[in-house]
Amino acid sequence: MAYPKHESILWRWGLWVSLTVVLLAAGLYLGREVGTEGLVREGICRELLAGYTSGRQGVISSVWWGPFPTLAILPVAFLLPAALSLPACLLVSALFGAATLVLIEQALRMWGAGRWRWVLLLGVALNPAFLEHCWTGSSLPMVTCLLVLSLYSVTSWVHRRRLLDLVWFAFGSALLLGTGYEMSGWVLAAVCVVAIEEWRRRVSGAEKRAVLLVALLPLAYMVALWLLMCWLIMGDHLYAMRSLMAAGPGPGSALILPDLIWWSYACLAILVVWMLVLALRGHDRGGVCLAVLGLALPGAAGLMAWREQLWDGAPLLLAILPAAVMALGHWLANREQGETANGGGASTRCDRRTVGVWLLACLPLILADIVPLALPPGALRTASVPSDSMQGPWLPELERHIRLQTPFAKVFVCGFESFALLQSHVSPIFEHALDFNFEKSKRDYHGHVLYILVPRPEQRNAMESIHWKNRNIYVQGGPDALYDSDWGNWRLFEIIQATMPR
Amino acid sequence: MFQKSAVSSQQSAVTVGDPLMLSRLRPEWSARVPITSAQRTVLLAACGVVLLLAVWQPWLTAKVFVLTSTVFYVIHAIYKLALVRFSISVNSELVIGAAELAAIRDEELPVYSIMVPMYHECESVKHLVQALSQLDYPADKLDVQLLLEADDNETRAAVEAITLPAGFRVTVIPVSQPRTKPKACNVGLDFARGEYLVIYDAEDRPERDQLKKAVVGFSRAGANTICLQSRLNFYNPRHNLITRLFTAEYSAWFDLSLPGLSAVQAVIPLGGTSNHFVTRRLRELLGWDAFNVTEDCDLGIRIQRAGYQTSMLHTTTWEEACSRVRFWIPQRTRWIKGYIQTYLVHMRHPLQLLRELGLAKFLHFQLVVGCSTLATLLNPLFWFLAVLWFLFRLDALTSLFPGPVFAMGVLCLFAGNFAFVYLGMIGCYRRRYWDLVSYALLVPCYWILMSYSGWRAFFQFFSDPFKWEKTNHGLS
Repeated sequence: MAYPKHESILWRWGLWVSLTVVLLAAGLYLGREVGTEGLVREGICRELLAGYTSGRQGVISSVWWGPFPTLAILPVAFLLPAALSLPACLLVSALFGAATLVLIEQALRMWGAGRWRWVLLLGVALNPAFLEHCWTGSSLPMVTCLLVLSLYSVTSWVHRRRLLDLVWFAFGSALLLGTGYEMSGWVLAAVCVVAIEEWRRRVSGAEKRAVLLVALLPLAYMVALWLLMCWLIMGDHLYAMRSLMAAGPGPGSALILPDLIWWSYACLAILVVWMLVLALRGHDRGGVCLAVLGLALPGAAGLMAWREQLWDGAPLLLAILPAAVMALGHWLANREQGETANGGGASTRCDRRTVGVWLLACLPLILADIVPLALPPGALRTASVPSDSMQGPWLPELERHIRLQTPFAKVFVCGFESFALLQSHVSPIFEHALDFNFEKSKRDYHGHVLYILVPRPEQRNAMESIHWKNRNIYVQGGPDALYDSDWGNWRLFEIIQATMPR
Repeated sequence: MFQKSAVSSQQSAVTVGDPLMLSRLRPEWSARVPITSAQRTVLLAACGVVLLLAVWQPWLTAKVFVLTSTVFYVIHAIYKLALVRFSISVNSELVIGAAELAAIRDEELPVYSIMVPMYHECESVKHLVQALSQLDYPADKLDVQLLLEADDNETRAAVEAITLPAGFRVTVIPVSQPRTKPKACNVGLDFARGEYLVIYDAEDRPERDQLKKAVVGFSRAGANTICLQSRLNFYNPRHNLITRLFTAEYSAWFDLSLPGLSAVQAVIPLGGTSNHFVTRRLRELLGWDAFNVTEDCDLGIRIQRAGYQTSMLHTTTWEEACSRVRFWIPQRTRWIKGYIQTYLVHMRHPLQLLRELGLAKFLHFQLVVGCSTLATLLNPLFWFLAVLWFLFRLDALTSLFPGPVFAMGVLCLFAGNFAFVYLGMIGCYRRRYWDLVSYALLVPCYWILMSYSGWRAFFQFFSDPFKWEKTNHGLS
């Protein structure tokens, strides 16, 4: 690999700022609105800054809502002037989206991919799914950015063994784990790759231990910190993982993806397998490492799909494209340098096959990205919750419905999406409930009529504590919960209380 | 007043100047008056206001204090991490290659002065002379001065017992107050014959080619660079736990933080030994402040105030790490006390300092000299609050940290402290002290010692500002 000694910092920062501005401006111009995830994370930040327990719970209480994206939004939410009326999550998504592109460009340039890097970069930058996430305040740009950072740094580490690359990998993978459960499989694979790479080297045991400690300590610290925070805030150090232990596949939590998108991911996986074969044949350890980690993405996705924990728009699936682009860029860089060394030459049969595999992989992907844009809304199967139910236009009506029955009522809105739901309607009768407890609520609101509003158990909502603590509550209610009414994707239950003695 | 120095039998008597010249000619640059009356008035007034507020509005005062401290911690942590980032990625040091060194002809080399202040160091004399004799520099162009105190009979006897190589001489420092290393260095500076000059401690073992590297470094760095700071590290890092932790700290400071400061051309607090100077410029600056117990840090700031520059030189001098807590604490006390002295000396006229340094360097000065000292003093209070909260979950304590302050506090507690531990690991890794990487995890225990020394320094600053607690060497 050709790693130039110097690179222009000005160029990198300039590109980052410019791309951020372009992404942000394009999103605002096209009138994209903040998605559910963005609303939830903004809501958590608001509660956190106000010093409420619900905010603290929102940061750490679920592996499905990792803390890092919320914590990345927090300082921006705090510092961004309210007069701008720009949601912090949009700015953060644009920043990370731009950083993803800059990192890919830097990686391809450092590897020596030449002009090809611009073509590959466009492949990611013009991907509608990627853009959509950048424009709606999703955490996906953060996931892709950290993934690209980890991939690039681990490959560079294998090539040139520079301490800075190891440190970047250590922090990239630790923060990637902090984005949530979905990337944990990939992070584990990356750790294994580094460990195997170290094990293969003929150096002293002390050096191997030092490398592994530097590489893995941030990751271990992230896990330990998460456990500690769960213990401090939730009173149970494993609370964030309880959904994985307690819940089987919930109704509606299974993968729902258009077939075309499935095919595109499968083709990209084939491309990465081909890259792996080429890297193995060329004894290119960096290439092998990159391809193995690229393959770990569909591998982890397959595992999650098997456990019915994967759905449309999952970051794990969408991160496959940047990984595939990097694998291809790495191969192209190797090929260009090989040609330069050999004084040029005709394209080999191997090259033609590679280009063929690449086209095969790209075609379904392009179609998968373009077709949904061309079709009218709702034409494709999707598990996405309609946005109107997230904004909660029916909340005032629900409040009237409850106040008609009693002026002393409390409605506990369960789950993370309560932060998105309640942001449009402020009322003292609604309260966030990430860790709802029937007995405690009865004690705390003695003399009130109590309700819980439970989200439909689909996608991430199926992993909410209200569902794993009270199996089938949405469908059957429970000994303490009596069905009242349905509101969008939410179901209202009245909490049954013993009659008070006079 | 200094008239003549008594000199050893190996040298003739030489007339010397005034080792306290700086404090006499530029008293505003000297720590002779540790705290001026204006500063005392301002500090007392500030303390009075805080006390009044604490009595009138205790809760609000506590909240403001916590908020201010938390913001300070966040800025300090980000700053230190940024320095490390600069040190790793930018050409932050003058790296002199073997080819450049090989190209130098001996006759082109200038006379180089080496000054070694010694006090009760009889056990180091032999090793020192051996280490300096092995320097790759023509003997006829070396001007080595061993600066011995007149009343230090055992060291003088140890020196007289050996035959000094060519180019070595002894300068005896008469007994006078203050009894500090910089005073001895000022005497030596007056006698120095070299175009360049370097300070070593008695137990130092510089890399053989360090002087040649410095000569090339000065010629490459340009006329404005009048000082080169070498990296320092220890030859006894594995002696015991304290030396291991000391090594982790030194590796992070000299291999990561100082190159970072050099990369952004900030003020560099010099490291006590292995500072190479352009002798003429050092004399212009009136040498060292004999009343400052970290004269090196002070000189680093004065170099910048005079419009000159310090750069880091990629070469190492090996020292002896203090291996006993009972000697380590006085040494650290002196360093922190010296930082307090330096900060107060240069902040006598803040606007003038701002004009002379410019805004960026002024802020660097605040962060490097002021904030690092303040952090060692503040740390115990916040550790205590953290322990109190973990153990008792007091609501009163929680209310001291409203939303944003809580978020910043958590960030500092968990991310900031982790980052500092990690820096120690990276420092050891860069030095290829593979086995010490894991010991860096214990650095938080070391911070407790630092804070203890910090408070000791704070009280000593008022009770005995010029006391020089000498570090004992030869223990490893």
